[in-house]
Amino acid sequence: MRNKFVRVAVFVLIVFLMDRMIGIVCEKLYHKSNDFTIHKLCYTIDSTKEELLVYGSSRAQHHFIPTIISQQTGMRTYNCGFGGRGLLFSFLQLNETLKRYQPKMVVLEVSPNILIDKDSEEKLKILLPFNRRDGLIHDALTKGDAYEKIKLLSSIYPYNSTIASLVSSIRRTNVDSANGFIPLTGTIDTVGLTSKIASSFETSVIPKERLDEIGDIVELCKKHNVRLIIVASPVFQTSAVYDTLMQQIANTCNQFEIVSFWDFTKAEGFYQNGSLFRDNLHLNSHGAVQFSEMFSKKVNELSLARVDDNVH
Amino acid sequence: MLLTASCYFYMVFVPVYILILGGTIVIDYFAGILLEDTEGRRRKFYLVASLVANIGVLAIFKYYNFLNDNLSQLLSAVGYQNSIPRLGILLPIGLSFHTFQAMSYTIEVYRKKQKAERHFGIYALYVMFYPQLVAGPIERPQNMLHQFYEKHYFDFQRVVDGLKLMLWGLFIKLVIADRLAIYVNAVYNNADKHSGVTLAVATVFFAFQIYCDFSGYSNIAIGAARVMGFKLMTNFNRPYFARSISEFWKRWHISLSTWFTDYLYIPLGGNRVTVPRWYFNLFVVFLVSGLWHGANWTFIIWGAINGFYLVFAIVTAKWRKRLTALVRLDQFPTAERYVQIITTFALACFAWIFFRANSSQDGFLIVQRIFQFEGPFYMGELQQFGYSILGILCLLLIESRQEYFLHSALPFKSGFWLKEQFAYAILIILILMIGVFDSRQFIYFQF
Repeated sequence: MRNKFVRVAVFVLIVFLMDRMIGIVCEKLYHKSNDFTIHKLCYTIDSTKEELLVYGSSRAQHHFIPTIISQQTGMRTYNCGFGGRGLLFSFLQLNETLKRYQPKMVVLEVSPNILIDKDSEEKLKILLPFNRRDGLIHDALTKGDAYEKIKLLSSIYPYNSTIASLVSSIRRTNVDSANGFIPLTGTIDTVGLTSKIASSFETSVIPKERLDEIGDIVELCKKHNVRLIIVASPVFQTSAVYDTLMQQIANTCNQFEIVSFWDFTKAEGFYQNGSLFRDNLHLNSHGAVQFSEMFSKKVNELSLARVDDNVH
Repeated sequence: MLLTASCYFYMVFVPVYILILGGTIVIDYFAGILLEDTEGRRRKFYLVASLVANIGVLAIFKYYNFLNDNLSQLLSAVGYQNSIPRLGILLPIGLSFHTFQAMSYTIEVYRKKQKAERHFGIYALYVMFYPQLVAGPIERPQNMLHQFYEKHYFDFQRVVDGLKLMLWGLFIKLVIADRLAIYVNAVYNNADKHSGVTLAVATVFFAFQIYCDFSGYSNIAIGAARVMGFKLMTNFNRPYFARSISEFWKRWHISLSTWFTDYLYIPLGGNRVTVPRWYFNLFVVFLVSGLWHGANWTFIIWGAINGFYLVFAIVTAKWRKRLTALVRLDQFPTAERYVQIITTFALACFAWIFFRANSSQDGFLIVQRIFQFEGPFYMGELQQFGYSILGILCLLLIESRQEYFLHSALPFKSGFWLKEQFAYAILIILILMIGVFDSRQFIYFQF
């Protein structure tokens, strides 16, 4: 029996040591990775020092061009948006950033598609390598999945499926030359678009917990005395359901006095202008340039208004 | 305790469905006793009553909407409207598996090859034993019932072997099947947008995906049962090393193949009938097997293709032998074996197209595209594709060792103990490193 016990102990020890050793190597590789997504995530959490930070999902990532915003507003800008990620992800990202410093302005792109996406919180798993960093991240990752806590006992698991990216990106350089922005090319195909829009919005009610996440971000910015602007960027075409969902977002944002809510959903020059869109929800690079200019102008107007307020 | 655990396991999915399962268990339990206690024509009545109850549940939950939809199409073709409503119900998990297991009990009691089980708890456990409740193996009463009466003592080696089998099952499910599923789903769910080469690669990937998914579950179920001291039947025996379609079916989902052989093929007359009738029997068995998998024309076509393969193989056996001799392939046994294995795999892949296709129209479109050899190749994300290829190579390497050297269900065996432990430790590390953890289910749970 003792012999058997020793055998089990040896096996467990082999697994433990291999897990720890490979986990340490993965951790080192991860934080030095030149893979765009990993590099951007590490940068947004550990290294940003810009004055204006943009958060949100793919619509943030593809719509806000930091170089244009920086030139026109005079504020160094970084686009922290990540495709497919929800507001909880943005909250956790921002929370880590605000522990380090206080940017002048935070822009949060909010759109109905991400607030009704049932899987957007599932996509939090990109934060697994940071699970030991903060209790909030750990709780968000393990909420609703008892097995996740067990899996997180492993040092390798947080780097699950990243090994190929980590190894292949070692020799890559200059991976984030556009400060987190990714341009989209091509123009929208409008054939059958109305029915596609109708089928992509199955519900006309945003769950309360999703709307509460807007409140959490507002509170976080308030606590750190950071100016927050919530933006709904342009879409090619809306539907009645989309408009209803957008109204719910507007109502939520307008509850907070300190928040500026800028709704560009049907902005003039953008709405139903196919040359500026890649698909119904995403601007192409031309659209992104025009939108970034329009957005910067509005930021400048806001800054001027604040200066005027201070003068008076 | 096992029964309570099994009930809990089943109720995790849709709790109320335990009542349906419970209902059929009660019917079959009493049917078994009545079958044993009665003689004469009434026995047949009890058997039919039990089969009707089981098949009735299957018919309502699995086939009602399918039949109704087809009736609607048929009626609309002749200008009528079907007023029978559709049922908005979810299919109970593993329904076909436990129904077939329950049916095998009453049939065996009817045939007097099995004594009726008088202990209700034991009988309920036979149907509900949780490791194999939702996706098999479909057990026989002769193999299982007596095991529930036996005392199971702790046996270190048996527990270790069970855990090793579970680990191997988890590996092929999480590292291979679920990784392949990413590419397969991307291609098959947009079949009209992909070229023939892409669809062919996705089909080969699906062949490995479904094998690793289902045999992975079987290994986990058999391993879990072994840890507790129960021996379940082997369900897969490296089917892609089969040299003919008939051998393939002796190695693939063995518990279902033997079920159909015992309870459908042989009662139909098997091969002890006229040649045309024999062909008919084979074809019908595979057609029913297709229907067992799902209420969809894609599964029926899949079954028909396999039935056709078997009949065709019998019809052309002599000609194929002559052809082999003509090209002198029979003088090179190893080459002949590889040709046979590859041909069998290609035939199985062709049939899998319909098994995986979202509709029969998609299935025919995919076949058409594959034979056109046109269009660009879609690789998807290079890393995903790389993991997929590596997974398949890893599987083939390990299984060829099992097939030709180890002759064991366990993937690794070595005289050097530490070397073997390292091999299993590497499996755990690979699961953590490249396993796909966000996949929700096993494919066969839906059946």
